[in-house]
Amino acid sequence: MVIIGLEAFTVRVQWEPAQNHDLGQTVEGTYLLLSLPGLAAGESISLVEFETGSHTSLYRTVHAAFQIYEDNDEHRKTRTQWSNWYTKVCPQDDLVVNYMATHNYRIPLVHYMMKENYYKKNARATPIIRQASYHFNWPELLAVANASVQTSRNRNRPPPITYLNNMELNDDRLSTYRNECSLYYTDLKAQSKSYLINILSHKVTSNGEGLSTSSKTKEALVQMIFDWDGITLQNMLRPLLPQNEVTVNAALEYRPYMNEPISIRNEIVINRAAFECFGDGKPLSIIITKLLTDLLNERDVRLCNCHTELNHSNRYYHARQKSIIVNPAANVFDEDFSINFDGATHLRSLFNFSTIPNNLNRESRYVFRYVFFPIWHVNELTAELLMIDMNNRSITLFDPLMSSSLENILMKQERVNQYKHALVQVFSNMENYPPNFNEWQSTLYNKRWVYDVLEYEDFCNLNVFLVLLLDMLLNDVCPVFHKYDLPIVRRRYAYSVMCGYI
Amino acid sequence: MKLLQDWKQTHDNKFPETLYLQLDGGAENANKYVLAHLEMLVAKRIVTRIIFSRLPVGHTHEDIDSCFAVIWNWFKRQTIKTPQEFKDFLEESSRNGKRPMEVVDILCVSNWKDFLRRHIDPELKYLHKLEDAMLQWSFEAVDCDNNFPFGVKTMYRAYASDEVVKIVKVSRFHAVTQDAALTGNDNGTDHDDDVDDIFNNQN
Repeated sequence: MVIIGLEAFTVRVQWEPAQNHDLGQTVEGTYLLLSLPGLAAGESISLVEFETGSHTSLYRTVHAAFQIYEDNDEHRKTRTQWSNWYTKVCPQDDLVVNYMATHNYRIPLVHYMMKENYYKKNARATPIIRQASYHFNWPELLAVANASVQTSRNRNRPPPITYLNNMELNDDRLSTYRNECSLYYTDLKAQSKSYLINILSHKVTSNGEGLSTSSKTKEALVQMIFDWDGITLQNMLRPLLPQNEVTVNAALEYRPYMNEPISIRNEIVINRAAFECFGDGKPLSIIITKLLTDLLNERDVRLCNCHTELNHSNRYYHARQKSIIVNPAANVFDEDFSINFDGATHLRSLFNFSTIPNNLNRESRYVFRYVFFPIWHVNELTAELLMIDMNNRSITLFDPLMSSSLENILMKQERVNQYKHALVQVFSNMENYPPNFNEWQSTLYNKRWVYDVLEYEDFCNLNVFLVLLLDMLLNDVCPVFHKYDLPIVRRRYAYSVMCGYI
Repeated sequence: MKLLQDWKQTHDNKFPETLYLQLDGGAENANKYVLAHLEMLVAKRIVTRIIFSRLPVGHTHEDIDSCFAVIWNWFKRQTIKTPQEFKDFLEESSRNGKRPMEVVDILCVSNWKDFLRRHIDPELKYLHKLEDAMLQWSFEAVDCDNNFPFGVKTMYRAYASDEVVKIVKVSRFHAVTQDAALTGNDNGTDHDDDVDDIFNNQN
């Protein structure tokens, strides 16, 4: 006997946002208010105005009641109650100001809360808040920051300027404090900029030549990354580019799936990231899965019909399942050779790839022409980038850290040959891979994968990010960073620096 | 706000530490202004913790609805002719019950929307829409630091429960036999044989 139909799974519901360093979420929790509401002296919260005709409507109601309950002894009490209700409760016109003046309706707590500053009085403020109104020099500030931010990774820096600006402190000494912080950050940025340019110019090699071991420099770099915004980052990268104008080819002729207006810069990025459609009806996932299976031979390559994706609707990140993406890495993560297969998601998270179709489900008829596979060697803490040209059936392997210079990215010939061999096998037998979605589902259900378990630990690697960046710069392309991508990029970057990966 | 105020007056001039809110999913309840207001309450340290829960879309019966049923039972044999009678009868009927009631005429309200709008993160949206809807929110007082500049840690989860049961459609080729469901011994190759047997028998 076979049970066919619906099956129940118990899924744990967890609080979000949870702590996830890979996602850039260093602590659990978030906040919704960017600034704390308050009222100045003599100010009060405005009131919602009455709708026009409210008074007339109320009057008609009472008038109708008077017609029903005629003026006699039987209805005298009722008429009196209606009359009292109209005169004592109802507004006499449509102006809420007049109503407030006559009725004095108020909720004491509203005014109480606004006038009494519970925040200052009762909050367990950190030493930074308590002492920031005094003048500090930098070492003292550092000591205060260290003492107060016990769990923060960035304990060796003063609070951000924006944080100070939000504080409700009206003291002249605060401006001095702010200025000192600004100078500190300016100095940090100057140091860090040259350091980053060294990295991007590949003056820093894997052997450590040119790599400063100064912790202060690393700290500076970390701080700078945390202070980046998209414009700054672009401006920093721009001098590294040749002076020639970027040319855009017609890579985006396949636009039927793109509903959003595409800027020129988006086209550049998409072109260089080499996401292009040629709709021959072969789902990307099926092809690539077979490819990976062949590549890895005996290795366990599993399918999953969900993947976690950034939800940009809020400032924080919330992982949720959405579409069919192969993600085998979670199962082979602890082996020597691990693969992060989720190239589309990876790239979308790094750059402004909102135009990439999100729904790679069974209805999709889109296949990417070029697919990037970040390949992560866990033990060596290195990464390769495998680019597959689905049209030309060719592959290219980028190995950033083993290469000695940007211009000569090392090609590992043996592995390339291995990949090519597998690729030929795949494409020669492509007709044998019709989309069989029952198999997809079976893998998911048999493994009892819980959506929330899929995390980003195999998701984004700094080395991959660097090689993407370098590849774009090589080709005269300045990447455009989406504002929501920046937290991930910068925090991954900073995390790697602090862990000594670079 | 009024309930908090009343609580304070009846509890040694102290606000409650934890506030539990259960609301339905109406737009007047499930919106970012309510959430921001709750966060502000904690930031101001009126309360130190707030648990906001709402019901899933399509579920309209919440705990307080049982009170309305009681009220309906009281009123079903009464004729109420004026607002004052409604107020008097309701308060009189509930006076000796577990939850004495009070009827308050609220004809004007503070414009919290305007008051909070400029302070709320503009990226907040879709908080209560479709699959992004989070049915439970927690606002907790914490120390002020860079991560929580106003001393409030806000968290959320998709359901107001530690565990939920998801119903998933299973294809016939990968369904679980009754024996396998009981024993956990799931042998996939046997399934196809079983299915084939069924089809053969039917034919």
